[in-house]
Order: sequence, then C-alpha cells, then structure tokens
Amino acid sequence: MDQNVLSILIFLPVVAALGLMLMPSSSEKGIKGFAMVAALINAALALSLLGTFDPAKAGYQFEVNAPWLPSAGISYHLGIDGISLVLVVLTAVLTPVALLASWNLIKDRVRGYYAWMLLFSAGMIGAVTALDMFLFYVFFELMLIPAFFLIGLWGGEGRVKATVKFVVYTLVGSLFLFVAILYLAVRHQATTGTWSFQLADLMATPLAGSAMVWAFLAFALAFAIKSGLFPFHTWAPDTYVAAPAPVTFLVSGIMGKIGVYGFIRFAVPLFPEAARSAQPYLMGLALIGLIYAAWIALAQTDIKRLLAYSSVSHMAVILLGVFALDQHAWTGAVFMFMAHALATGGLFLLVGMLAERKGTSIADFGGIAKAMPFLTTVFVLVTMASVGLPGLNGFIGEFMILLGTYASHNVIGVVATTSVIWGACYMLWMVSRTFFGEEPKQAKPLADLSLREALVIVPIALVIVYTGFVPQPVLSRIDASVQAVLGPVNATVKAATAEPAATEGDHHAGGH
Amino acid sequence: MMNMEIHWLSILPIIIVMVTGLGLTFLRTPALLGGLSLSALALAAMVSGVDLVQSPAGFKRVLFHGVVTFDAYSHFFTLLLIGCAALTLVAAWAYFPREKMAQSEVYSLLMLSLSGMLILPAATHLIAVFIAIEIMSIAIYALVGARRMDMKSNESSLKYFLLGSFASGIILYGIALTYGAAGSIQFDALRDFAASPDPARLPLFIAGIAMLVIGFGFKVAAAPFHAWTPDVYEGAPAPITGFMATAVKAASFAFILRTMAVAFLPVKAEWVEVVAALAVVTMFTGNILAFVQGNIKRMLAYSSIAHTGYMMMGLTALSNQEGAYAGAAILYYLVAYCLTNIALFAAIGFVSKQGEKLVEIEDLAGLGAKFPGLSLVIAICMASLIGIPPTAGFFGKYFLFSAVIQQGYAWLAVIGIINSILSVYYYLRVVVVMYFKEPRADWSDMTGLVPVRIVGVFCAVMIVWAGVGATSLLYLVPGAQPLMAWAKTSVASLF
Repeated sequence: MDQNVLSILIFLPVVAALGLMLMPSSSEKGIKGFAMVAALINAALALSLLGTFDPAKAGYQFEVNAPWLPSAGISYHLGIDGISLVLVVLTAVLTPVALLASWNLIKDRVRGYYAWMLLFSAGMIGAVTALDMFLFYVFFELMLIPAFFLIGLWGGEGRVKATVKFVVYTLVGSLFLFVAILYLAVRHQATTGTWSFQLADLMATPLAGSAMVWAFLAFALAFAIKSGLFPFHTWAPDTYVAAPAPVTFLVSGIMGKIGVYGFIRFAVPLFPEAARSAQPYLMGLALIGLIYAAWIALAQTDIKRLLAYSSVSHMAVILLGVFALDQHAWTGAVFMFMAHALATGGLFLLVGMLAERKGTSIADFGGIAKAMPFLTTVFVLVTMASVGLPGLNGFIGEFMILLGTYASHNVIGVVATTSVIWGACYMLWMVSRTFFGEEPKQAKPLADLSLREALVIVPIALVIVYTGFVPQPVLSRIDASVQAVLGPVNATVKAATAEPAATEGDHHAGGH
Repeated sequence: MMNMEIHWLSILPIIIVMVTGLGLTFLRTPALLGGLSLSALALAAMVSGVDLVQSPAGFKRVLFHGVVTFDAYSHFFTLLLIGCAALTLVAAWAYFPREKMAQSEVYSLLMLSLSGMLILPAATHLIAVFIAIEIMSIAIYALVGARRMDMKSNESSLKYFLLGSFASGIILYGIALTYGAAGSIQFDALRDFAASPDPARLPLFIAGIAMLVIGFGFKVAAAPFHAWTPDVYEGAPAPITGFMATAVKAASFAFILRTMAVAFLPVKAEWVEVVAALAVVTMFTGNILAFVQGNIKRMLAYSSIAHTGYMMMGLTALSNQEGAYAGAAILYYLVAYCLTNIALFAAIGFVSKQGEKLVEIEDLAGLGAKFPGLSLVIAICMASLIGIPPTAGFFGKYFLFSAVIQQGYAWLAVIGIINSILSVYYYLRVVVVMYFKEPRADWSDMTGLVPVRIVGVFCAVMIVWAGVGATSLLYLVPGAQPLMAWAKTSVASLF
C-alpha cells in the first residue's frame, strides 16, 4: 500500500474520468455522484497520508522508482516530503470541494466537466509527487489541458481570450523549461555516461558559469509564469475572472502554488548559486508585484476581479518568502500554500455563490448581511484569514514569511510588511461595501447559504480556524523537509562566497 | 566481384506494390480496387516484417552491384511507408467516390508512387535514388490533379510538376558533378572519396552536394525551396495531401538521411552549417507563415514546412558514434509526424464536404459538439504537433532536441523551442475554434464517417501510445521505448 499510494492518488481520478466517459451523458446525477465518490476516496487516501507520513524523517517517503523509458534514462519516480505532502493533501481534499461547488453551477456537458476536473486534479498531484524531471514536466504540462477546456468551455465572459492567453503564456515558460531540463540531462550524460532525469542525479552534476545562469532563468521563467510573479502575472486575473468559480478555486488555490513549488523543489536546489545571484531581482519583482497588485485590487469594482488581484498579491508574498532563501520564510511560504489556497480559494467559492444569486459587481450589493447572515459570517471569517488576522491560519504563514524576509533582508521585509495594510484596506473596504451599509432596494431578499453550499464552505472555514490556532502539526511536517532542501543550498552558496576569502589568506580558517 | 544473386524476400514488397499498381488499371470496381490495394499492402508489409524478423542482427544485403542495400533501416521505412499508404487508402475510402474521382487511376497511381518510395530508403546509388524519386514524384504530380473538374487541383498539379521537374534537373546536375569528382556514385565509393578526397576535385564534390541539398530541400519542402508547398497542399485532394505530407516526406527523409549519413558524413564539416542555417530558415518560414493562414490546408502546409525544419535540425547532429541517436530521433519524429498528419487530412477530407468547400479554420467552429470523437482526434493531433506531453510529438521533440544539444548545438535547440512557441498559437486556434465557437457550417448531410473514424482512432491511440507506452500494444504497435529502440537499431545498420 505504501508503495502504491501515490500512484493510486494520481491514477484513480484518471480511471474515474475514463469511467465517466463510458457513462451515458444524460444521467447527470450518476455522473456527479460517481465523480464525487472517486474524489472522496482520493481525499480520504490523501488524509490517511497525514497519519502514515513520518514527520521526523526529512527525506522522501512513499517512494516508487520504476523505469519508464530506461534507454533515455526516464523513470517513473514518485515520492513526497513535507513540502509536497501539503500540496498533495490540499489537492486531493479540495477536489471534492470543488466538485460540490460545481453541483448546481454546471448545467451543460456535465460529464465532460467532471471528467476534466478529475484529470486536472490528477495532473496536479502528479506534478507535486514527481521526482524525475521528465515525469514532472509531463505532469506540469498535463495540468494545462484540463484547465484549458474547463475555462474555455465552461467559463464566463471573455473565456476564449483568457484561455488562449493562459495556455500560450504557460506554454512559453514551460517550453524553455523543457530545453533546460534536456540540457541538464545531456550534461549529466556527458559527465557520467548514463542518461538520467532523476532529480537527485541531476543535482549531483551541477552546472557552472553562464550555462547555470541560463538554465536557472529558463526554470525561473516557467515557474514565474505559473505562479504569477510580476510582470508575468497578466494571464492570472483574466483567467480567474473568466473561469467558473470552482475552477478558479483550483487554479488559484493549487495550480499557481505548483509554480512556487517548482522554485522550491527544482530551480533553487539545482542552481543554488544562480538563485542566490538572482535573489535581489526576484525579490524586487515579488515586492513590486505585491504592492502593485494590491493597489490595483483597491481600484476594482468587481469582487471577482478584486479577489484575482488580491490572489496575485498574496502569491507575491509567498514568492518573496521563497526568494528570501531563509528557513523561516520557506516554512512560512509552504504553510501559506495551504492558508492561501483555503482563504483565496474559499473566497472565490463564496463569490461564486454570490454570483449565482446576483452577480459580482460590488455596486449591486450593500447591506446584504441582514438577508444572509450565515454567508456573511463565513465570508468575513475567510476574509480575516486572507488579510492575516492572528488566530487564523493566514497570519501564521504571512508572519513567518515576513519574519524570515526581515531577518535576511530587513529593508525589503519592512516594505513587504505594508502588504498586510493594503490587504486589509481593499478586503475590508470590499466587505463593508458588499455586506454592510445601506440595504439595497430589491424585489426579494437574497437567500442565505443552502445546505450544499454550507457543506462546501464550512469545512474550509473550520480548517482555517483550526490550523490558525494549532499550526504546529502542519509546521512540523514542513520544517524538517525545508531544512533538508534549503540547508544544502545555503551551504553551497556559503562555500562559494567564502572561497575567495579563503584563497586570499588564511587557508586554515576557510578550509575547516 | 559481387554476384547477381537476388534476395527475393527483400525486394518482394516493392514488386508486390508495383505489380498491384499496374494491375489495378484494369479494374473498375471501387470496392475491389480498395480491397486489393489494402491486401497487397498487408502482404507487402508482412513480407517485409518476416524478412526483418528472420534476418540476423545488423544484416546488410547489398544487391545489384551496390545499387540498393536492404537493411534494418530500409525495412523500418518500408513498414512506415506502407502504413502511411494503407491509412491513406482507408481515409480516402469514401472520399474518392464522393469527389467522383477516377478510382482505378487514383489507386493505381498511389500504389505506383509507393513503389518508388519503397526503393528510396534502400537506394545506395545516386541513379537509383534519382529513378526512385521520379517514380514517386510523377505519380504524385498526377494524383495532385486527380480532382479533374477542380481548377485549383489542376493548377497545383501543373505547378508541382513544373517545379518538381526543375528540382529533378538540379538533382541530376548534382549527381553529375558528384560523379565527376568521385568517379562513382555508389554510396560506399562516395564515402571513400569523402574520407580522403583529392583536394583538386573536392570543390566539384562540394558543389555536387550543394546541388543535391537544393534538390532534396525541394522534395521535403525546406525553405527557401518551399514555395510550391502551400498551393499544392491546398489544391490536392485532402487524403492525397495527407499522403504527400507524410509518405513523400518520410521517403524523402529516408534517402536524405542515408545519403548524408553514409555517403557524405566524412565531409560533414562542409555542409553542417548550411544545413543548420536551412533548418533555422525553414522553421521560421513555416511557423511564421502558418500563423497568418485562414485555410486549414495551407496552415498545415506551412506547419509541415516547419516540421521539416525540426527534422533537418536533427541532421546536424549526425555523426558516426552518436549518429544512431540523432538519426533515430528523426525516424521517431517522422513516425509521430506521419500519424498526426494522416489523421488530420483524413478528418479534413471528411469535414470539408463535397468539393472541399469548407477548408477555412473558422469552418470548424462547433465541430466539437457535432463530432466529439473526430474533434478529440484533431485535438490530440494538434497537441502532438505542438509537442504537449504525453503525445508522440512531444517525445519526438524530446529525442530530437536532446540529440542536438548533445552534439553541442544547444543554440539550435533553443531556436527550435522558440519555433515551438510560435506554433502554439496557430495549432491551438484550431482547437479553440472547434470547441469554443458557435457552429457556422452545416454538417447535416455527412456521409463516410466510418473509415475516417477508423483512421482517426487508430492514429490517436498510436499518438498517445507512442508517447507513454514502454511496451508494445498487442505485440504489434510499439510504444515510445520499443519504437525508439527499433529506430536506433535501424539507423545503426547504416554505419
């Protein structure tokens, strides 16, 4: 079981999606139920990982390593550490939530929709469990196809333009990534005589000089686009707005994180020195993105668009934490994967619910708290998590990131801290205009959350509160892994920067 | 000296195809024509397969005083070309009668052109190459004009014929110059000359190679010798266009690869930069011009130019030691490319309706809802042409680019990638139009979907299987791993 659990997590949704295609397209209830059962089994399986995962172990767990195309050195190598664990569990658990949120929203071509959603989930789980660069690339691209159809076929206004932009942008990045991966493998082959795409093998044959810089830039471009780093973020708001709410939930909640994950798992450990020299620029971009997106969010009149920019801004905070190359900041960033997915994702779902009732323009609302107290309560709670109120999980991640950033780069840390203020400004202003104030004049009052909607959103809210108060179980699973990944990186960089000093004078001091 | 002993099993496939092609002119019954042709193809493929399987590893049968050489390489192409022809025939099953084409001529010409193609991969003598090219091309010139009542078809046939004749002339010139320099045009003799050339006659030799490259470049539609391609692809009947884009290209690459790898490899330094430059120009020309096409056949014509560029890029990575890898990458790429284009042109032949009226990309709007299966096939083909995993096209690019990087041409691989990026948009556009746009064409009275569906499903399954498969499917169709292994042994038999 331990051996196969990751494969099951990836292929169960695939098999279920194929199964869906065999069902008659007319039996909508059957289709939804079948997809839901498959997603729930996957979620349960992923949650069971939390029990069997050994937090004390730093290395990869549940590993499978089988040859796929042995002559080309391509293997089917899966495994997770604390960092990927967070994303695997998030993906598997949020998929049924997204399916439930789609229940009444998706009315045509239901079968295709649910099949694509399952495949989307499978692709994302594959991407965060792959330990072979080639396999990772395959999954990284595979995520794109379901997203393409989900947005293009079921999206709202501007969906065609948004999908094309989304796919072209991300493909541009990943194709450069592809060459860089090939280059690494060729270098590995040249030095060792054997082909391999295993991450561990490629890390053992480091690049140097300009080759390393170019390869790092190719990796960074792909992951920057995927995670929406300024100025590569422009696809994100369009896509978030055009996609149906549950898809936006998954795209912003998880897919974007896989870009950040790419930095953590691949770009930084493979090219530590290049990452260190690019650090000021990357941090600068993250900082600009953080403030720029927050300001744009302030000016939005549409809730969905506002959330889209808020998501870009929060992703910039996470990226800032990653680029700080600091233990605390990284742990905080990985924690933020979860916090941001739940908060922003949850908000997108809530806005989807509002949209079903009335639309997404702030001006259309006002004072609806009276009519829908339950929704308002949850909305405010999730908003608080999003702006980082202590006691909710958004605070933990953001605090650790800012702390880590401040410790390593204090000026940037100080500027970045203002993001909390901007976040509070646009979110609270939006909430006050939407839910409070004067009651709108309308024919009939808006309905509060239905039972199905409550089932979607309440668990999210509960996890937000729980992990806000008791973050330690999550943090402990992340921390050892972060140490294992980042430790060698900083050691390499330190050794590289210490070298000139050592050769200049005291060999004994430098060479211990 | 070499004796004239003939290894019948090796040449039997060619004879079967040629005799069938000649015999078909006497028949008039459409079903019989199709049935006989397919049976002949199956028989030829079986003979070739048996010959391949029962031959010892690394076998080399030099026949007719070194004019042709049958080895694992020629068998690879025999099977690939027969496969292309068979799929084309199935795809055209309902198309030929729909377009009221003279069927016995069409079938017979197709088989005859195939017989020329089957000689090409085995030809190890430039005159054999020339004759095989002419057998292939003349039949194709006629096939392009096979929709006799259609002006465009006639025009493109004439255009192809005239330009093709020029190309043949240039190839002949090249052969003459090469002969003048080396004193022989048998490949082994050419290689010996190239390995230790007489400095006085080397320029003549290089000039000969240059002529040959131009002529070859015309046949595979490499820029700047590509100008005929869009018009001819557009004018030819869709399944025939598919046949041209796949079989003609595969056969042409078969002899280019053999010529470059066997005869001219020792002087690689003299031609590699030219070929690299041609590859770059070809890729950009194809992709940039494909961008602005509204007609799907023209778009695919430019796309085929671009793919020629990718494969020419692979030629620069040829070398004795690693050549097997680069060559094998080209072979794999060809298989992937053939699968996508046969399926695509089969689909276009069907969707365009009688008289090929609906050939604009915009005409495909709403196809996804009307013909979900066929649209899925088209979408898979587009994904493969872009190079999205896990399709065969993706693995083709992977093998090709890694071969090129390995030989130290990383910059060429980067240009290849930039071109892939350019191509994303126009391939994607087809998918977007199919699925996301409201229908504007009327597909109420369609006939003949079944054969197209057979071809489409087969190709789509193969495209995915040749991507992800590490074993053979039903012991017949190899996945990525066995296919690449087979391609490697095939190319290794060249050296």
